[in-house]
Amino acid sequence: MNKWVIGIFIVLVLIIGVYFITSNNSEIYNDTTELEEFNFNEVYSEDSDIPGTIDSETAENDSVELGSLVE
Amino acid sequence: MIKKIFGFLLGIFVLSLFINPILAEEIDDLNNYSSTDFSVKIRLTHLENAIDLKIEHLDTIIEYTDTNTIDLNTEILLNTKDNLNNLKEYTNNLIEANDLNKQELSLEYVAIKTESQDIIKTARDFIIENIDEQKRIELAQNFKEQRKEIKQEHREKIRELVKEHNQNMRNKTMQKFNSFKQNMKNNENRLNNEDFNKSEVKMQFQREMREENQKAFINNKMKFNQNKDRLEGIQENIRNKRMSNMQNNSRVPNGVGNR
Repeated sequence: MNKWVIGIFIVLVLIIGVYFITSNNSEIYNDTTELEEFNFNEVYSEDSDIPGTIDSETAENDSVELGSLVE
Repeated sequence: MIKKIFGFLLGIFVLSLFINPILAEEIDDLNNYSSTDFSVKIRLTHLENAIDLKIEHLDTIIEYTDTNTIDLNTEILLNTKDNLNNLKEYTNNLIEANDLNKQELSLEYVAIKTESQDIIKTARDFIIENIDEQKRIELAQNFKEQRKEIKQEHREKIRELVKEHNQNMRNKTMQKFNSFKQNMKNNENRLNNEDFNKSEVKMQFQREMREENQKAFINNKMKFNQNKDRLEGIQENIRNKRMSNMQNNSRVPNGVGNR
């Protein structure tokens, strides 16, 4: 009976130990894998836009800056 | 951090003292688009679109004077139209060119814009002198009803430039990120510090990127300011090409833009 209790205790300690080691490793910067996800694709994706590139306000402002032909 | 922001603002203030106030507005405007050659070309496409709109306005005026039998020498308006067409073609050639950097493109932008403003002002003075106020108000009303959007062909061009700009920026950012990671790997003391976790690494990279952008912003202004003496030369060049085209071809627009 004592042997079973000691065995289960050792297994639990091992599981908890492995859990702490792996969770700690993922928090401390010693692996760049997860940082690879931080690759700015969301910022500079193919479809992202520069504000004001094709809006009518930009077109109107530029036209005003060139000056009116009649007034 | 506060010191850095203060230093940045102070730098901008000192720079502004040395920059011609007429150019300052243009520089600020262009700085928002000066991360890559492609983004400056987006601004050039905006300018091309605005010139195109003025050409449409001139067509409206010429048609209006015909239908309302206004006694007006339309030759001058047609010459203005040719001049604007030449500038439009010149701008388009710049957008398609691959041999100019963003500083050169920025200077060309300012030169073309100034030249367009001069041409439009001359035409405006002529129109004000020859068309009475009531009719000009009517024309202005017609312009308001005309398109305000960016023309479809320019929209498509801008979309392509945005794609190229984004690709370029992504590559640049990834290069910086890889070199940042390498620095982190090399710095064992920092990696062994348990408090130094992923989120802090991300924040630090973002901070470094922000600082680099601020430096680039000041740097762009300085380079623009250093090169502004070349502006007059570029304007002169554009004007000469335009004049020689006008002499060679009586009013017929003809690929002036060959640089």
